[in-house]
Amino acid sequence: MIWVTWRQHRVQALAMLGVFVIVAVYGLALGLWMRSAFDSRGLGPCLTSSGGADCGAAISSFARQVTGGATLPLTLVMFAIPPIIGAVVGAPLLGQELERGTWQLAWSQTVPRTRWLIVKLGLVIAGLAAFGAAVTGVMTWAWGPLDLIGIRLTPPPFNFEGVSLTCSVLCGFGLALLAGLLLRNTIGAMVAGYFAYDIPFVVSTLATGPLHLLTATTTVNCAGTACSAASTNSTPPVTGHLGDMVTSVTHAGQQLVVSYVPASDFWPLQFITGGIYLAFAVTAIGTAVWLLHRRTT
Amino acid sequence: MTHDVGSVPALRADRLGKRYGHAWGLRDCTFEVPPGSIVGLVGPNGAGKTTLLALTVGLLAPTEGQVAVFGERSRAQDAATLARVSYLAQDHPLYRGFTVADMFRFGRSLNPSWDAGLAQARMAALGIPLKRKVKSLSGGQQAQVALTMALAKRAPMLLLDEPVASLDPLARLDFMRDVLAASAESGLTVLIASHVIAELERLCDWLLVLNGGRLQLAGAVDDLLAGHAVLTVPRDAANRSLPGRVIERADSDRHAAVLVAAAPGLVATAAARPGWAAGPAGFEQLVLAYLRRAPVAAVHPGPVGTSGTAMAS
Amino acid sequence: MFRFRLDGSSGVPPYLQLVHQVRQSLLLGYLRPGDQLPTVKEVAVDLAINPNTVVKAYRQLEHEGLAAGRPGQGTFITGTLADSSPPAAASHALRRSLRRWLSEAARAGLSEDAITALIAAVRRDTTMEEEVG
Repeated sequence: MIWVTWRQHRVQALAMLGVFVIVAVYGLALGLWMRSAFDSRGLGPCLTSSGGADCGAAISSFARQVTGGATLPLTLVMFAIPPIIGAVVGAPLLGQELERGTWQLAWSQTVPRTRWLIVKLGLVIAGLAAFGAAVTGVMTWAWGPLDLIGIRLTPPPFNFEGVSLTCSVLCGFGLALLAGLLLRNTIGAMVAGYFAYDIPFVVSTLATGPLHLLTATTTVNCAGTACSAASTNSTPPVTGHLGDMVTSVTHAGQQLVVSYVPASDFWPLQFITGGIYLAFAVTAIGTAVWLLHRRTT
Repeated sequence: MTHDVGSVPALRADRLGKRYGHAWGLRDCTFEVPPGSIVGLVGPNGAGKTTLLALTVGLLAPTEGQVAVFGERSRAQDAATLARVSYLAQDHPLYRGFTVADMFRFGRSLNPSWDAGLAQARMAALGIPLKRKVKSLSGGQQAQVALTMALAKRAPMLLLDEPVASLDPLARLDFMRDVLAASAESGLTVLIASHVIAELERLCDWLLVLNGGRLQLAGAVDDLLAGHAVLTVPRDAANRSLPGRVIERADSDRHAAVLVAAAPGLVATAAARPGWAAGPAGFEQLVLAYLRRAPVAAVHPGPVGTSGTAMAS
Repeated sequence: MFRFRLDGSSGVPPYLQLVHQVRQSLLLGYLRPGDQLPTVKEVAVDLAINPNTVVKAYRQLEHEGLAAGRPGQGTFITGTLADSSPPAAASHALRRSLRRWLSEAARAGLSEDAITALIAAVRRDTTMEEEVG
């Protein structure tokens, strides 16, 4: 079964390798460029000594330089492409066998169809997870300098760091796999799976978007001109901690009432988002396996 | 090639039935087939031929009843069931992007009983290169590759679902020759589902006629032909005065031609009456007559070794 | 090696066609006692027919005394058609009575087809009577 799975998914595996190479080249270029911009402003020593308090202007100019016009395309790509890759791999696994009638060949050999599916799924999912982890690793490295001074809690970095990218690939895969079984059609399953992906996307956005659950509030003492100039866009953030996302600042005499999402919420948010995608993936894949086992057509 | 009366039947169905939603694809199907036979499974499209084959190989589970191959019950998605039967589906599906060698590797990976030598020998004999991709082979060559996959599995039973429907006449003949050679060499039991009756006549020594999901006729071809006759009788001869059972009757102005299911002795007695004559029924004529009838309640033949013949009641 | 042919549209059962071909070849001298007929498998594959059909044909030939199977070796021609034809005198007498009957039938106004149909009908009736008896 191992050879059979490899042989049937050979083209897809090589295509994913190609995609990874492209990402790696881009990531390498991006990462090196960012590091040179970072070092040229001496941000490294500044952060170590003052935690960013003394180099607000340098931080702002660095952020402006590197995120420029590249942010929006990067966000779109990192949002749209991973589930497409998952769907392209998942749709033909069952969809093409049923569409072309090769299921009559595959499931009348000496391996029962459920075992055939489970072994295939194990190998393909492992491959997709490795792909996801590799892309995540490269892009996380590339974005490193910006992560030191900026917010990780929103796209682009939220989409390609942590577990969310890998989980979204698996989600696209699972939905397209089930669509392939139900529709008995490859292209239709890719499209259906990709559109079905909107559901977990909406659910995860609702769960993490408004950020009400994880928003913290604090009061900060401040004085002088720095106080009146304080806003949600202050660099470094008024909480004094790089990476916090400040959602509102209210002036109250010599104090500021600040609502913010702490940088440390990154992993909880990742687990919520990734967990939602994975839950949909597991449900879809489990349903497909169960239906295949029970459906004797 | 005599059939041993006491041996385990190659295929045995017991009130086998399969329902799809509200419709029965196959109903109340009971028959036995001896080992080494070449069985013709004939019926119009939708008669239940593919359903019967799928139930035998374990691609489907029965709604009621059971089917057993060499005494072992067929279960859906069961490795032992799958190992006993080779299945060649309609349009001989293959992975088009695979090479012939890839297809054989596929067969080897999924079948412990795979005979790689047989597969390669057949390709060499047919002149089909192993490195060629399936999609660049002709239809006849693809069918031969698919047949090789089924034969190399070395199962004792081979199911062919309309195997030559899409082939040109020469390719059909070559394909069937290879099936016959395999059957003669290894005693393979073969079931051929087809609606090309003339072809089945030359190939088969056992016959199953399906219509509307029900078995209309089952038995050894020789016995079935011996058990039917075509009587030429005066038009006013009533059906009840005819020997055996009337299968089909065609009335002309003064006479009628009647296909009856009756023992030869009864036929001869009846044919001795003045103005009556009797002749044998042809294979195609017999099958078509049973197919033209509205599907009747299923047949329940006796065990193999009596007459081995059964006709619809 | 003797090669058989099959005419699918002739209406004659395949096994009888094989028997006829052997008989005809014997008459013409193309087959002689001692010649080996092809194996059941060879004929079945060559003509794409069920092996049982060949077995039936070979059994019929054995029944008529024209061929015999030797275990482990194959099927061989044993007889000639000359053996099965009647003695000359009987043949001569039959010929004469047949000629008389045919001219009688022609005088009665029977056409060629009518004569053939009459002969076939009487033969059928006779065969049926024999089966019952």
